[in-house]
Amino acid sequence: MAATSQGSVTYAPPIRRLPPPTQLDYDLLEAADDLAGDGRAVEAIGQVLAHLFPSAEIGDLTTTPFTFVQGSSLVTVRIEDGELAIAVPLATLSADGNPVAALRYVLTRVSAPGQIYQPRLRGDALSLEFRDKLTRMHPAKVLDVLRRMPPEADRVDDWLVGEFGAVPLGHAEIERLTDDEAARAYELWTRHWGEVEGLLAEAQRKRSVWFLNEVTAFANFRIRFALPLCGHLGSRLAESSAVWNDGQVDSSKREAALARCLRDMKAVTADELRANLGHASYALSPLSEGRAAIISDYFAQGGYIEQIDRFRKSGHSFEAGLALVSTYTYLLARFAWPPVVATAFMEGLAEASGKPWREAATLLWNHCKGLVARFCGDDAEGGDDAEEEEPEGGDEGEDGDAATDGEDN
Amino acid sequence: MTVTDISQLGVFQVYTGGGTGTGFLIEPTLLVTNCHVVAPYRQVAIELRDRRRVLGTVRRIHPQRDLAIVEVAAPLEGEILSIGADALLPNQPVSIVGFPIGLPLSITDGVVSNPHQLLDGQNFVQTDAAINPGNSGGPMLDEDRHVVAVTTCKLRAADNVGFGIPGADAQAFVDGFRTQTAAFGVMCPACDALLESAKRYCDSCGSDLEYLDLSTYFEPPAPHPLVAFVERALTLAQVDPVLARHGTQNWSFYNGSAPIEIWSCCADHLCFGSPLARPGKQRLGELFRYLLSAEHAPMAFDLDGNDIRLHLTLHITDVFAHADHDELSAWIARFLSEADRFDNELATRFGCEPAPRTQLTFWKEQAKG
Repeated sequence: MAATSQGSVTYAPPIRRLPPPTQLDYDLLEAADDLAGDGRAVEAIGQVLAHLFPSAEIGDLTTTPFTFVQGSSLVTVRIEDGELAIAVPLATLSADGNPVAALRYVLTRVSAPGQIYQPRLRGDALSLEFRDKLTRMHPAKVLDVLRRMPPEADRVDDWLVGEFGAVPLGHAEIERLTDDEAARAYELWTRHWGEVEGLLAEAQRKRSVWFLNEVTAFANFRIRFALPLCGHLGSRLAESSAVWNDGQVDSSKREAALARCLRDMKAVTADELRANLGHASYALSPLSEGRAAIISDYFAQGGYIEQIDRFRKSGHSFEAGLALVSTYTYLLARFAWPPVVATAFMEGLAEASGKPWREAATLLWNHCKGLVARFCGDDAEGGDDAEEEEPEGGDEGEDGDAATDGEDN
Repeated sequence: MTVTDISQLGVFQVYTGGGTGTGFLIEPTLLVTNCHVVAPYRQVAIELRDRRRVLGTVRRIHPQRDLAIVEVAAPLEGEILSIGADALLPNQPVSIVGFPIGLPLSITDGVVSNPHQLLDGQNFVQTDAAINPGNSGGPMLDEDRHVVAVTTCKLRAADNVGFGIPGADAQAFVDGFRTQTAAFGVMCPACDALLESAKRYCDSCGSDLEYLDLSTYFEPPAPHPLVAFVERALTLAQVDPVLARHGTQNWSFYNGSAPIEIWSCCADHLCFGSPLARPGKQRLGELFRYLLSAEHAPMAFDLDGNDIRLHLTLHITDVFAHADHDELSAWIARFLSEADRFDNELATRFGCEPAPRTQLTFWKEQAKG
């Protein structure tokens, strides 16, 4: 167990490629609204696509389908017979796997009211599909499908393959890791779960929900930040973390779930890990845009940073230091930052790496205040839109712990 | 209270486009309830024990005393309750009968905490018996099954502090109604005179009634476009929208044996759902393949717990784009008829069991047919 009450967790540079923020042109959406209002649906759809995929070349959808990659999913947008059709293959059922369980899973977890795309089965092929007349194609409707369906497909396809033995169908190619990257990833993976094991033992000793929240956030978000995890292993981790990283779940249940997850993750071999890592492409950023207001919301003032300060000043450097490490990691995992900001976060983590908790807490405290001064400017008194930046499924918890999260992927 | 079977009481659930409440029979065709349960609707739905709903017409409302009288076309079955005006005593046992939070008919017991609690210048019967949303308009009964008060509200910030409109006030309201012939009217809050049209000043006592905004009672406001869209589609599908209403932008009703629910789940979607059946124990793979088959588009099935649910989702922009309303109404009509068909098909083809809320009478009849 590398992490104890004496020594801070360690930092290693991420193997995952950090995506830069995507600059979206919202004027295009307004233009799309106007075009739709004039009955020019095809042009309106073109404007929506130009807004969502600024670097893509989008041709005439009536003759050439537009295809984009979202992780392991390949999404096709086409216009045919006066309708807009958006589809993404999920997997093919296999008699060698458990097709009944796969179908039950899709019926229970994927098909649902409240979404205008649905899973459809043709033969043994499962896909997510949306289809509707152009005359009913308001830009908000196109956005609704394109923002929700591809990430859902990316989440579901690996699970169907890994959990139920389905066969990949129309999956996007994912760039595999080099030997060096794979070796570093396995080292990081092994060290991470060892450190989390030590932190979990501390959480059980302290019996503090606040501390447990920080441990689970760190356990979840360091992997998401540092490793380009994909495939079934990523889905398994997401499913498990949905329990142990949910602040609304009973603490003992969370601890037990994390302990089970630790055991499973520590048993993962180097080859198995490598098979579940890859540099995937995401046409739609899976991350929210990082803004100065978010930094100021966490580090300038407010209940969360005040609590950290109280810990720091009352001999609880472990709590303060871990909270700051968790928050840095969370911000790196969930938001796309300009490179200079991401680098600053990583420098802070690197400086605190392996230091005694007291030293790490002081160092990160000063560092985060430096971030506020450097990047927040007039926002330093607290951003008014930081809440809006929380990705869907975010759960801040009652005590303002921003890093605990109920999201399932 | 010496009642072992509350289902025999003439107490019924009242549905409107604003919510649900409770009403009780004072005659076979007349119910008393709260004004806030029915207003501003002039027509409401009354649900019977077998889940059928009948139309009720609001005849009188008393916004100040929060009372209303609803008339139904045909006599309802159920024990008619007499309103008692006897003096109540503190600590006297009382029972609240109604439909808390939309649950089936329920009874809660307590005592009179204060028979003359003064709140906002009006007398109330205060009780510690549990009162919840949905109980409004129901009877507060003494041990002899007399209505000693009409349940109206509770204090949210306190435990076990509920209120009823005293029986004497309810009796006076009913007595007044029985002497009148107007089809609809609003009682003056100051003098209890009958107002048959929206006036600023009471003809009888001269009170300024501007604050009551009487016009909303005489001319209910135009429905929200989403409500107008759904109710037009239901009308085209031969469903009476008044009987289908189940609160704000929610509808629930039966189409044959299929329970239908319509709701707006968020700012973007209008959802239609029908829990139809439960999977049997065999041929599940075949059943699941059928449920996920692309042939059902634009509808789809899901498993909600263990209930097989047919569902359809419309985007809210469809509601505001009027050009395709007829086609979308046809989708909705098809959804309703398919829901009624599928529950039987799932039973006969795949051995499914009816869902808990399936209207079994119709289900069995259709399964036989």
